Amino acid sequence: MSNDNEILLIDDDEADVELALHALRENKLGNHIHVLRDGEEALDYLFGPGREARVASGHMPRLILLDLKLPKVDGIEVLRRLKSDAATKFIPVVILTSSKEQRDMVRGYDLGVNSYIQKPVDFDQFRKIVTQVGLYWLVINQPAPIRAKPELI
Amino acid sequence: MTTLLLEDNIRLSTIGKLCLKLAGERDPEMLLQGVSQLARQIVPAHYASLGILEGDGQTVSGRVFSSGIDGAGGADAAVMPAIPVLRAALLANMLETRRALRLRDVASESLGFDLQPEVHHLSSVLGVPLSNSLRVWGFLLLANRFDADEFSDQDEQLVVAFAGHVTLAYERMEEQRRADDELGEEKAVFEAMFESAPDAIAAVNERGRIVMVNAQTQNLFGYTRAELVGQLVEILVPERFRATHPSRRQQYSSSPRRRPMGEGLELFGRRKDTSEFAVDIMLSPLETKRGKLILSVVRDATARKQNEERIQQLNRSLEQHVEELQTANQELETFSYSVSHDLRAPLRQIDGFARILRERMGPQSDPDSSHYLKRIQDAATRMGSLLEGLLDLARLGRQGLRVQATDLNLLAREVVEELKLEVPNRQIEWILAPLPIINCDSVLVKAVFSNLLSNAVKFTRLRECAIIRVGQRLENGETVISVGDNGVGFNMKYADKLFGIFQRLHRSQDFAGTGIGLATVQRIIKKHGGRIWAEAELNSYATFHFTLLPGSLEQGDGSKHENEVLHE
Repeated sequence: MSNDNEILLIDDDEADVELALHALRENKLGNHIHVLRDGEEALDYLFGPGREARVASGHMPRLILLDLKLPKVDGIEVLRRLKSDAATKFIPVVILTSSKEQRDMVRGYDLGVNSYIQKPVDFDQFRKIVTQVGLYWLVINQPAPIRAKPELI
Repeated sequence: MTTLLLEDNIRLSTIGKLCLKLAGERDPEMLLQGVSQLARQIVPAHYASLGILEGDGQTVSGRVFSSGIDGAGGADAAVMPAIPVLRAALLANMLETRRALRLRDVASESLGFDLQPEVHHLSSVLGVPLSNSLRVWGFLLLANRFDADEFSDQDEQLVVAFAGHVTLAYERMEEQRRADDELGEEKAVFEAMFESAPDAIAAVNERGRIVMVNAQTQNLFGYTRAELVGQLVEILVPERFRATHPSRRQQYSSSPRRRPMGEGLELFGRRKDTSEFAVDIMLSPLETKRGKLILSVVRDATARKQNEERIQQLNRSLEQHVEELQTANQELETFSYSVSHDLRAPLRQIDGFARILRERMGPQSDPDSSHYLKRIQDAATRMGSLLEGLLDLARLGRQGLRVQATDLNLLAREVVEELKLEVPNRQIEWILAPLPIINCDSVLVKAVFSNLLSNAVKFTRLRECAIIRVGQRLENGETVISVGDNGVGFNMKYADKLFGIFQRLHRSQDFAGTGIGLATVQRIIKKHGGRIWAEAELNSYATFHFTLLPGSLEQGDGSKHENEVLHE
């Protein structure tokens, strides 16, 4: 089960992705990171072909780091799909965004986001936060029990 | 004896008839003129007159109504000059006694003054005062020539009785006349009001005929009064409404009450020249002896309509402006959203990669390169806080005030406590005067104190002992709050730049700052309807004064306390 600790990083900004990966790898959390560049790609990956097999085998991401401003399909829509599907709704989703606009936060929490974090300008802080988030959700937090059989979902 | 009684009866019945005649008289002048003649019908006399007293009740006025000798002409005219003298003499006596005076032979009586020789043509005289309970208002004088019988007791009694009736009739008439005068005056006032009313007023009877119109009706509709009175009221109604108007009119007549006509309907009047105009109509029923009338008050509504249209136009353009403003606001919101999102990312990346680079180079690296990387990071950090301030300022423009009663003392103290934690090693004397409780947005006003006080802390950095003072005073009925310090101050010639965005009066290596703080402070003060200004001297002091929304300042109990001095 090589994908057991898979993190999905959904962000279109190359540089931000690189910085996030840097921070995660520094802390040995970067082995199973799957980067997706826009909302459509994310939806395809999560709900496209092969989904049933992944669900059946329990190969679901352990954590999704989601940016809000994404090309094609925005982060809020991705969140809505994730949280309204029985197979994905228990995956922890952390919004990691530059925006601290109230309406974004309200919409995020409305849809059941697990955490909302504003990316700080200062890299040192950014690094700490990314590390803490990774450690918390992958190591400290007890995930929802995996339900292997789709018919039970 | 029987003859006498019979005669008395005849004379009494004469009095009765005469009194009826008096009572029937409507004109006071006619009454007065008739009295002397009537008196002579009761008591045969050659001469009779009725004299009226002046208002003073003492002298005979010019108004004397007489009959007898003068009317007969001829030789008897010789008597006339004596009459006024006789009248005056009798009057003096009667005013004193208020009783009748009868002289058998005037020539032989002493009346206290000389009578002219002509009086010798007269013999018997009878004077009877005309009086009510209050005063003598006139008198009757009857005189006989020397060749006639003297007046008897009975004559006197009859004339006295007659005088009573005359007084009654006269007073009744006077009263009537006064009442008529008053009524006439009232009527004149009402007529003038009716005529000069700025609205057209028309009275219409139950059959729909115009009974009465005022002057404004003529002006408004272009008809003369004569052309309107007697016509059906539909003459004033546009032709297209004429068919239905009578039934509506009858409907109103069946249950009339005061109300505007056609509530909520557009009403029109029609002029003689067939042109139409907008009108407002008020209807009220009126009961008269001649039957039910309906009063219609008609006002030209053209100006009102035009005004309403103008207001509607203004409203439309206002709505349009509001819409434009909303669009502009939305654009601004979108702009600040993308500023917050899009500009932050590159900053974080600049900072991030510079840091990673510095870490990779390690401690043995070239100090210059390390220094330059630090510069890059500092610049990114600074730009970050600039962005932060700008966003706060933009957000301020969008959000409304959440006004609540706020104790400024608490606000100021909170800020001071926060600042003390930030600069634990500084020696600062805080002097906080009691502040009022006011209605304001406490979050925003706290930001004002926070900005002003942290500026004060910042610019007193070089003072060994800094003094920072918060005060309040009453100026022209307004509470002015001030925040002052003994710091580096500034030159007053730059005072107008203080509150401009990105304006700084100090070099950033001396005193760090974004140049947004005071712009934000001013924005908050203005949102509250207040003013802010500053006074300062370079290297000496700076004080900022501000007011908040006028009328919102309520004196709290804080003012009772002494100044509070906190030593650090």
